[in-house]
Amino acid sequence: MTSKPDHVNDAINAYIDYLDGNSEGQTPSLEHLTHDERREVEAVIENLQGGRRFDPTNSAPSVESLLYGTPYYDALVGNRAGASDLASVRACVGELRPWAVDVQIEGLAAYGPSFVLVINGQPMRAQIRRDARNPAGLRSNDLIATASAVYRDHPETVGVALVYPDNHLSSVVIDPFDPEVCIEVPSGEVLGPRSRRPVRPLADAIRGYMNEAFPIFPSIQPAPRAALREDLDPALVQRIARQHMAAVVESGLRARTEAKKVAWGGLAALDVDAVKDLVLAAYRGDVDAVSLKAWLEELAVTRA
Amino acid sequence: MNVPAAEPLFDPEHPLLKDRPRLESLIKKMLSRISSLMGVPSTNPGRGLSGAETAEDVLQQVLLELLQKPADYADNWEGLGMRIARLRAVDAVRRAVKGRQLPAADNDAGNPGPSPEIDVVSLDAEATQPSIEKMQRAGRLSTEMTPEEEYLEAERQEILWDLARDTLDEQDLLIYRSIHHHEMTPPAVARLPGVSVGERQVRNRIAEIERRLVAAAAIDPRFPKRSSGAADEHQGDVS
Repeated sequence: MTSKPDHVNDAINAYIDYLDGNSEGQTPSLEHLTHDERREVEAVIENLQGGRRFDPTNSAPSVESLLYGTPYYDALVGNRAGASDLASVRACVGELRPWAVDVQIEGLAAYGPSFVLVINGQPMRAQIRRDARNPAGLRSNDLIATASAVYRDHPETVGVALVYPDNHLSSVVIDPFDPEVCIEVPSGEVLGPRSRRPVRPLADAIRGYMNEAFPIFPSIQPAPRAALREDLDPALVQRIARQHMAAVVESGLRARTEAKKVAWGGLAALDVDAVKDLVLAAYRGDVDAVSLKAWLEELAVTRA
Repeated sequence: MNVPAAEPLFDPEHPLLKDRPRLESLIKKMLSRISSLMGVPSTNPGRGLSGAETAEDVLQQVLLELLQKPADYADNWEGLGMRIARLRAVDAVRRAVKGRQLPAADNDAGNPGPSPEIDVVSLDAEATQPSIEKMQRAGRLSTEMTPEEEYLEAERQEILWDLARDTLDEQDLLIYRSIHHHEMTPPAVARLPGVSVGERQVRNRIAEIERRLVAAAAIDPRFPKRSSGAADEHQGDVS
């Protein structure tokens, strides 16, 4: 920003002095300005005049506090988290497979309605934050800090989604540790409330958080047992058993912990053939769990 | 004969009750207007006039009055709200300064002049005691603007404040708010904690800030363009 005074700056300051009553009541003249300069100064003057009538820096009380105790308050409560809000949230999280989601209205605070999203039995809370200036504003420290109260009042909550009321319901999910002051490792720096996750559409934000907090691992299909039987070579099993036992024994002999040295090193006395037979029997399903345990104990006693 | 007071009209289908963002936006603008007229610090609407209502009290009164109107009462609820806000704020100031008027003074020509007021001086620097005379002198009671234009002007000031917050650093924002909204003089701003420049630089900075915001507002699609001679619209009878 330049600090060099010019005609326009001087005219603006003359008008500010006039508004402050420091120009003996005379409206400052703009005659000496060019057409463009005069238009610019006039635009500033209009803004200055408007600024003295209206101060948007004020903080208005909540509608609830103004209408409390009147029939209008009940009407407001009836409208809270109204059908449109609920429908919007339900539409956004409806396709959150593989999770099953149930959306319930929880209430209304000064910032907007809040919901409980029960995801596979885990309660997450979503707050529509009308006090955010834009979607990126959801990541401001002030808003993140408010999630602390949710975790305090509802300790069963697994996540708090701050939602901006746009078409996509842009959201950021805050976990229980985000609002708390912490010491960062290894820097040792003290960190205040912070958000580690990006702002995304509500469904994506919840999906990302659930994948992080409650991952669902894909099930592994075992190979057909018949095929295993055919491919299993006893000589190979014996060689693998010998290699692994040798590696364990070597680690045991190097161990500094006496108990480990005795336990692992003692495996040298174990019969490799006996281990091979056990592995083959277990692999082929020839022994049940109880018999297998008894066999293992017998091996241990034999070794001892 | 005692006439029972009429039950206030309650219409759950009132357009303002059904549109909360619209209601909240109007409330903020009405409070801004009321605070300005009552001369109470807008950052502290809980403050009020000596022995009278606070800006929040008046705001609540205006809001209830607005909601008691039938749903089809007005085409422009924003204009009506600003008009009621203006009237009730002036009423509040009149009630607060009632009894402070001195007997009418004669001027040199022998005609009765305006009655001077006894001023109340507060030891609290933040409290500014308004008077109708002061308000007229400051142009706050000017009726050049229709209520609809007042609403639009409040909208403009909100957008300017948004632009200021997005583009100015902390010190420039303080300078802008202090001069543009809080009517402080440049020398007073130069003495504020958080301002590290002198009066001359404050003057340069406020001029540059105002020019920059004019340029930013000119290309901001949200900023309502100013027009002169906006037609008055029916606002219903409010007195």
